[in-house]
Amino acid sequence: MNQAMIKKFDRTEQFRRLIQITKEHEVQRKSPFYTLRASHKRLNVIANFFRKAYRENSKVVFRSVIMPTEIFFAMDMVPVCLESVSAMLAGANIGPRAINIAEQNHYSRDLCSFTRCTLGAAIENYLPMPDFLACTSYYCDDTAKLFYILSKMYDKDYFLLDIPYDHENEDSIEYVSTQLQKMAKILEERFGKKLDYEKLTNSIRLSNEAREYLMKVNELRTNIPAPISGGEAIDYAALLAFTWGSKEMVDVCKLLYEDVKEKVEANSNAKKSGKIRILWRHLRPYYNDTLLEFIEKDLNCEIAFEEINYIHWKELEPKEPFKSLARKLILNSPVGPIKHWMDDSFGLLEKYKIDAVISFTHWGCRQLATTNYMFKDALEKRNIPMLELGGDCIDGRDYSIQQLKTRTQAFVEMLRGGKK
Amino acid sequence: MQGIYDLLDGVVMVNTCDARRRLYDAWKIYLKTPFVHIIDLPKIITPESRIYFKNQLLQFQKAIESHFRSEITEKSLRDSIVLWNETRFLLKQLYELRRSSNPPIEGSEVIGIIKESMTGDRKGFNAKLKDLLSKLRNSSNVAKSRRKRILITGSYFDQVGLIKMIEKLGAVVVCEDLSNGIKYFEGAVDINKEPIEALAEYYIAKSPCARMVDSEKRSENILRLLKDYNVDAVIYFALKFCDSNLIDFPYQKNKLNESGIPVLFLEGERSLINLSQLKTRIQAFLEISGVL
Repeated sequence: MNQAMIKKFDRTEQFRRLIQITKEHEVQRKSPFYTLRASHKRLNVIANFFRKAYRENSKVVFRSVIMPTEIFFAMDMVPVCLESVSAMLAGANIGPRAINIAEQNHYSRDLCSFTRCTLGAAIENYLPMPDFLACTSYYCDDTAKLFYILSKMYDKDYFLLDIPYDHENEDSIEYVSTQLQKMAKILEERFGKKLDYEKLTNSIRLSNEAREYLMKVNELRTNIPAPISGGEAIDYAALLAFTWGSKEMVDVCKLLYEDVKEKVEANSNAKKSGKIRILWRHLRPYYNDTLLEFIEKDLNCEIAFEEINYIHWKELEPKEPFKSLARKLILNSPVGPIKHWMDDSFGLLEKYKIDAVISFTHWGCRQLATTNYMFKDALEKRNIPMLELGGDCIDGRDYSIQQLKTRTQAFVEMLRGGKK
Repeated sequence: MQGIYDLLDGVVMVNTCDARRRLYDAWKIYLKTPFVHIIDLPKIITPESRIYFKNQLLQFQKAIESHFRSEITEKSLRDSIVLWNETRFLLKQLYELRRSSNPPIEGSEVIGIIKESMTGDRKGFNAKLKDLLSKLRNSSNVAKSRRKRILITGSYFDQVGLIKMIEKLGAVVVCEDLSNGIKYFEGAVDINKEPIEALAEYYIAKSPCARMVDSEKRSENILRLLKDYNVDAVIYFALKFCDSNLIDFPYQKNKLNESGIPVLFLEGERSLINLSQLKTRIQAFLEISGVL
């Protein structure tokens, strides 16, 4: 695949290709075990955003998972989170096809499958043509390069937001804040439109509102028995990542709060479950949604919380949008020293009365591969066992869900043995 | 963790990649080295990143001064820069000799020299290198039939055995576009600038590594080296799980192929143990691409 080789299809044609490929790979799967109204609303919101990205008059920005979206909404752009797109493609059973294409184009199997999946989809040309690409240097080394490569393929502008390691340093906040302002200026020049600070303030306000609801949800989830399943909750922060600063996200989060509140009220007379309570690290296999359901239903455990849903940042300051977004970015748990990440995660152990941790170790994820040992070791000192469950979020070719279930079952049996 | 590094007074790492960053974390947790420091290195070269990186070096300077209770004066820093610039200049001369059609030194020897240049007494190394250069210039290098010329690029690579094997097959390694090759010493730190600023400028803008985001700049640099060293083929070596080099490979391969340069991709651990298998692959590559 040569650079700048994506044909200038219009987005309608790209959408037609997506639908055609989806049909070719259609599988009969049972629908997700969603019990919350908010989960269905979330699916609709994501689908609508994705469809909007295929409209010819949309200004589409490809962004990585922690790149702030509030600025893009203030510029009337449609952010598309490429990690979320890979998850969706995997869910639609297109993952292996996209990954095969990336590998045929010399992208190593050792690279993260989120990255390979996006590359394959771009090469087959059914992603919506971006107008701009914006990426952060965290979480992963390969993501920054992925966006660079895509910018060459699509022949579009690319902005890399360099996130420093040193998270407690005011220089770092200044460095990121300056870069965000620079990006806003580039967008203004590129699209011939001034950044509307009133819109940015509104976007920041909406972001804070969604955050507030999610904080409340997270508080409600401290209740025992767990009011909602982790298998259902895990998709909120991850798949909604590209909607921060939108009215739609507030609506989903508000409904989620109401749903969870109702569940807590309904459980008010329920006995303490006595179930093993699990903290889940990282994401889930998107090509098969039965693993977490198996843990919660068949093994009768509670996935009480997921690291990914932890709200690590303080309310954003509308008067200082760039600085507060910079602070939010830098304080993200996996950014910076591992101690910072551990402090955030271990705070969840007591809060959610955790008995054990499962680290779903996605193939090619250097963040997990390089930190699992240190986490496991530190958890053992707190008498919390951790299962390192090697798998792949996107590429199911080398992983059998049955094997993952067997390993999880053995872990739970070991925990139950310990409890006796 | 086995105590091998207990002799150290300090360790300094650079935040070059995910693995290196977490190595720093693990070092701080599990080893008892008294001074452990990490320098952050931006992935882009912009006015903002230059300022940030300069501040990183200033913090590093302060951390050393504070821990070791020793002042780093502007003069001592400048003197050190002059000394290291001399090493850079001498190594550059060594590489200049390799540009000739009949290089007086094998690639398998050069990789060891670069490695030695990274440690030990600087003045002593510079003196030895001057002697070597003088001998190489005066040596009556017997003219051989022109050997095909190979450039190695990619991750850190110090497999003398593999380079010897390439050279036994009838080719010669004339340049290593590696962090322990030409990237290590190309250019010089500007002695007319304020020292920390000059160091920041040199290290952030030097020959691009795959970890820097601008693949095009890296590609331009490789193409320049191909011309300077009259290269016939490229071996691209990626350490297992070195994402920066893995993901950059297709981009660089396309650019090389567009220039008509054949490229062989090798992926492996630092301690290559399957040399026989690699020999077969390298031999086939050199034959098929018409290099042999």
